[in-house]
Amino acid sequence: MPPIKSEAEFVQLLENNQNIVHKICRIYTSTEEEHKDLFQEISIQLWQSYQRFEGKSKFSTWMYRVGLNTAITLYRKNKRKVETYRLDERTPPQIDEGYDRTQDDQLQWLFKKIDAFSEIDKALVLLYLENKKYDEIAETLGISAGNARVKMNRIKQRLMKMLKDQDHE
Amino acid sequence: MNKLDDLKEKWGQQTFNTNYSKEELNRILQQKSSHSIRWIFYLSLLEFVLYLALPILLPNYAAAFQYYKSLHLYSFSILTTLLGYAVLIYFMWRFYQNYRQIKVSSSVSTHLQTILKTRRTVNVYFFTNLGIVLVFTVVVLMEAMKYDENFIALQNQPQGIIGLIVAVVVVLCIIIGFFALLYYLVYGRFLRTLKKNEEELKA
Repeated sequence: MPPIKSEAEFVQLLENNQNIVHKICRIYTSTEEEHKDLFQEISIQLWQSYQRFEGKSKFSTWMYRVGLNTAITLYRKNKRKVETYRLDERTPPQIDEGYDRTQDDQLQWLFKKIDAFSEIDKALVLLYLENKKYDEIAETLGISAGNARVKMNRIKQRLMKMLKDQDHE
Repeated sequence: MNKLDDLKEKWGQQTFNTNYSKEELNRILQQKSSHSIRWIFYLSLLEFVLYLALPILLPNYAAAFQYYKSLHLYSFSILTTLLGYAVLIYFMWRFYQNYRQIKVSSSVSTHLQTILKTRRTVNVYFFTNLGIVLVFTVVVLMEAMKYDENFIALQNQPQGIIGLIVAVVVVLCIIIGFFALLYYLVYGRFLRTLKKNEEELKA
């Protein structure tokens, strides 16, 4: 039986790496309140699975896995907002004006754009912007390295097109 | 530097106005998880328990066996009941095995697959039971037409048998429709999203 790991040790690790969780929350939520909710849920899931963390993968890779699984499969954000958006595809997603006002304009623009992305594409954008290697992306998502390469190229092209279109807006 | 590199750099440098201290993180960890798999698990357990509690919930459950006896279906009804419990034990075991495999630290693809597999077990369980109930109902009705005096009398009335068949079909359709709608509302949307994500990962 593996030794019981202390909560203090975990909290220290979480404090040092909380930016990973914040980045996941930022990609998957559109209001400060949702961000806090998802942060809480990911933190609880991390703590609950921490006892089984054997260090076979990097702590950060493990954090991405737990964080993305929580955001994609366990957490459901405000449904009303999603449904309202679907009723009129031309209406851009409503981002809370008070959400991360300190963020750079370019990042604000990015978050508005990717709010309409699928949950899997959001994960790909996150892993791309985090400069993750193909084998780490493959391990996190549970796909082959070849598939990871194809998906990353696709998402890179999509981001490049978005940036190009931004010049003409 | 192109725009994409510029975006990556800004992404890497971003700061958050909600950085938590150790004390705040400790407080967060004391909160309860509210994730959706948990209520899917509880609902699934409820479905199993409801079947187990059927003899208590139905007022004339034991008396019904006397009626089946009058239709020469006593052994058939006992065997069907035993089959129901065998199905229940098998699917509960499979459900538990699958549920144990759900680990949030698995890869995203594995996580999606194990959740879908676990829920699918309950769906197959439910529809197996529904199938048993439908076959049992049809057999009982067929035998009732031969041995139940009320049913025999009904057959002698003009339009009686047609009316009976229509009534049975309507009742069966309402039962199936009700459960299909319930499953669609309770699990449909959630599972469709997971399925879509799973397919998108494979593509």
